[in-house]
Amino acid sequence: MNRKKLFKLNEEMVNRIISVAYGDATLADKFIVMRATAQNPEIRELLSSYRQTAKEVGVLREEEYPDDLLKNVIRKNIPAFKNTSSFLFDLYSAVFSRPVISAVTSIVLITTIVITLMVNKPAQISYHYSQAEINNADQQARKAFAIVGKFFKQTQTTLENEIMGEHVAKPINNGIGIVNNILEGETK
Amino acid sequence: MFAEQRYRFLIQQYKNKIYTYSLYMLKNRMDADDVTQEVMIRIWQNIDKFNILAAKTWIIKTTNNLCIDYLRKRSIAVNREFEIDEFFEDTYSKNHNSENPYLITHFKMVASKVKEAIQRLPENLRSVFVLYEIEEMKYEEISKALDLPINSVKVYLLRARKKLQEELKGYEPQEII
Repeated sequence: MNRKKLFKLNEEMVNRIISVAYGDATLADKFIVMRATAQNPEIRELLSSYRQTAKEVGVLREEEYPDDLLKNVIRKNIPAFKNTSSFLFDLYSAVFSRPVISAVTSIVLITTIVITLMVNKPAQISYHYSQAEINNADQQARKAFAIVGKFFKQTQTTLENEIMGEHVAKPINNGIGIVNNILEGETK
Repeated sequence: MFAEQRYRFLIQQYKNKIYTYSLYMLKNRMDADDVTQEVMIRIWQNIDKFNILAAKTWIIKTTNNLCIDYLRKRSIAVNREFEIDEFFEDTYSKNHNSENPYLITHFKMVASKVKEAIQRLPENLRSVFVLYEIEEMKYEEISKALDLPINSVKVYLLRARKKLQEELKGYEPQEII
């Protein structure tokens, strides 16, 4: 009795049939409708009819908005795009506005950079010196520092004895003497 | 920053969706062109304001609102409820590789009949049907775009399917071949 009621063509069954025909029914609904079609030819016919319509609807695709119309709309109405060249627009459209191409381009770029870095990796140079060579280099460095130190010492002596005494301290002393004389004259 | 890139990306992604929805809702190519253009301008004006991930809902909502405005204006001017869909491109035949002219004609006629039947659906059922079946949007997205509870979306879709079935009842595509 209940089984007969389950496979009866009522409102609920029609809703299930529609969902099954359009491919968005639950597993339970699919099972019920499949069982019902085996028992009830009316249900089978209705399902077939809905399936035909669903198939016809399923092949309908989005309408294509013409590209030339799109370019005109953008250039005419959006000031920022007025000076954009067609080449750049096309390049952008071809590469960056399509996620798949954009992703592939990024992957190719990253791979190229990584490979380039790996191929041109600077070779590590290892130096091997004997103790005699190290001692020799040490001595040469000492001699070089000694020569430089000697020059600095000579420069310091010249600076202290000749330049500071003759060219700096003496004029300052003279200047101070002149100022003193002037001040003494004023006090008198 | 990057406003231009974001805009181009959005336009490439959604231009056909906007245009298709407008065509089915308005049943007139020129009006659909106008609505598509207006939506594109609004996207540019709001490019810095909305989240790019939620753009789809925003764009369809804007398109729907504009279509409703157009339909209201039109209902005042003239009643053009039963126009013939001469403005649809042959997108059906483009998607079929058949070279048989009889089959191509047959497919075109079937597609044309189905499109006409979709256009005869009441406005509220038509919008849900087009978004779900042709634009392949989910219940939740449609619910947000049209400001409808998800259950209403499901009910409208079911009613639209039943109504479409009734509309196509008298039509036997097999007779054409």
